[in-house]
Amino acid sequence: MLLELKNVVASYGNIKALKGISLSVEEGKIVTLIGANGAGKSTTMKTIMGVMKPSEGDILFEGQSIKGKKPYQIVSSGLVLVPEGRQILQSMTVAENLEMGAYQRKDKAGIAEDMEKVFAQFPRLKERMSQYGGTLSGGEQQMLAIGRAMMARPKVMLLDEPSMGLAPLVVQQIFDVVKKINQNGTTVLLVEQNARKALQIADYAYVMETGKIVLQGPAQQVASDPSVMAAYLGGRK
Amino acid sequence: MEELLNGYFLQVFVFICINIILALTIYMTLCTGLVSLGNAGFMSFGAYTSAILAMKLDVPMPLSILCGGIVAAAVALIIGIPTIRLRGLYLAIATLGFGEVVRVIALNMKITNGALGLSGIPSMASSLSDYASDLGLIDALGLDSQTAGQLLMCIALLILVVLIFFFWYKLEHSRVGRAFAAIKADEYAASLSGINVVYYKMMAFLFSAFFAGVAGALYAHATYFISPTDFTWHKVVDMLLYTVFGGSNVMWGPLLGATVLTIVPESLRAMSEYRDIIYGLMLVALMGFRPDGILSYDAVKYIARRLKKSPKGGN
Repeated sequence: MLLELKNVVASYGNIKALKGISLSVEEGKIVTLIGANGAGKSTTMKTIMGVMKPSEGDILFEGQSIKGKKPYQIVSSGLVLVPEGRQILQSMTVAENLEMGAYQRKDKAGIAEDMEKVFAQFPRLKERMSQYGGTLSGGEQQMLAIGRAMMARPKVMLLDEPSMGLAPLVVQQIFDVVKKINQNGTTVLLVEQNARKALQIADYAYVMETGKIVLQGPAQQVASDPSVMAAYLGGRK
Repeated sequence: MEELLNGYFLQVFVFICINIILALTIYMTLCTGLVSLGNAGFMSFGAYTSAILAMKLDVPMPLSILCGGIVAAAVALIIGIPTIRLRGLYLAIATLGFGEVVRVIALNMKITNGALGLSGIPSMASSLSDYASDLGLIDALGLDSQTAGQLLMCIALLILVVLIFFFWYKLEHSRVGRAFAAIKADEYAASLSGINVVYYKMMAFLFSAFFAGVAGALYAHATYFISPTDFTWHKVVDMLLYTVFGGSNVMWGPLLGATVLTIVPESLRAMSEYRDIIYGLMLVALMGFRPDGILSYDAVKYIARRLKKSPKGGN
């Protein structure tokens, strides 16, 4: 397993947000984590990235424990998070935002090459290269956030609600890109409320409810589970 | 020329230089989004360290000034470890508290001579003029030794300001500077981009404290007398005003702010009763019309463009 969570518990003050999460992400796959608001999906992502500290359990990346490491250390080990709400740097240009994503890298040629890859993927970003991040539309900001994550050349990309607040056409585009990133060799852990779309592109799925994993299995199997259909897919497939 | 070389003008110029350095120290922490108000405390560490070293141990002045900066930075490291993780107002309050603690300590210690302060601190001007007269420079210029000393001190401070400015300008346009900017823009996003946020914040904090210490040491050797009342929180408010008034997003801002806000109170001396009113009105007006300070990023770009267009720099 490339990434593995073992019985992870994390809390905000006295409130336990994760009550013992175990999940594993196999190399080269797209794994999705679905669930309602407040289920603990984003907390799981933050805990993996070291933004939150787990009080119990362990997190293994390539067999090594990354529990208790700082976000910048985790980024340098090969994980990167596209955070919820994009969190692009509003006062910096598109190009500068992308450069920030490659902050830990020193191979100038490789960075330039990856920048071209991002622009090939998102031609809109190239057009707006010298525009401030804050002036982009929601969809473009999401593209920029994903582009920035690509610039780190991660082994695993974690995406937190990339479709949030976007128009259906843009949502489709984002999911296509996620799939493409995966086909190019990056493992993906995707958190989504748009369960239908997430299950379409994922290989494996976990369903979370109030801090626990309640169901897991190959994505297609999860998608046809009656309880999932009722709760997340509007009752039909 | 003769008129310009009077002691008063030179003295004002010395204070402009010191205030520019202080304004820059506020700017340095602001670069990473930190509002640190402990700079009067760091300044007093620098001032007392350098004064005591020079007075009691006869340490040469350049070395004692450097020591002042180093001691201030060392203290900043100790203060910074627990407080640098605080955000926004919390850090401002913690560091403000630190400044007051330092003042009260200086007020009660024997080595700082308590509320009476230290007097008879070796003067930078006279030590520079001694040095110059050894080289035979003063006779060549035909100035009296006091004016020459002050003039030399102005030149030395100007060089120092330029060096500090250039150093920070270089830093800001390096990899480190990009990390600063990202942290200022969005700390969370910066940390997710793989930036060690605490490290860079600490770095900015230490540089700021170091230069505040140096400025304090310069202040001590420029006025020959320091007491704890020189380093109250009023001093920090002044520094903050220089930076905010001039524009806290560009390096030229603190430079302009410190210069203007040092000259204005001086030029209003004639109507001293209304001085604070005018000063205050100016600040209120500025916050109303240009809340980001006089110089913003766009303003600097505009001026740079204009200067390029008319290379003579007419306006």
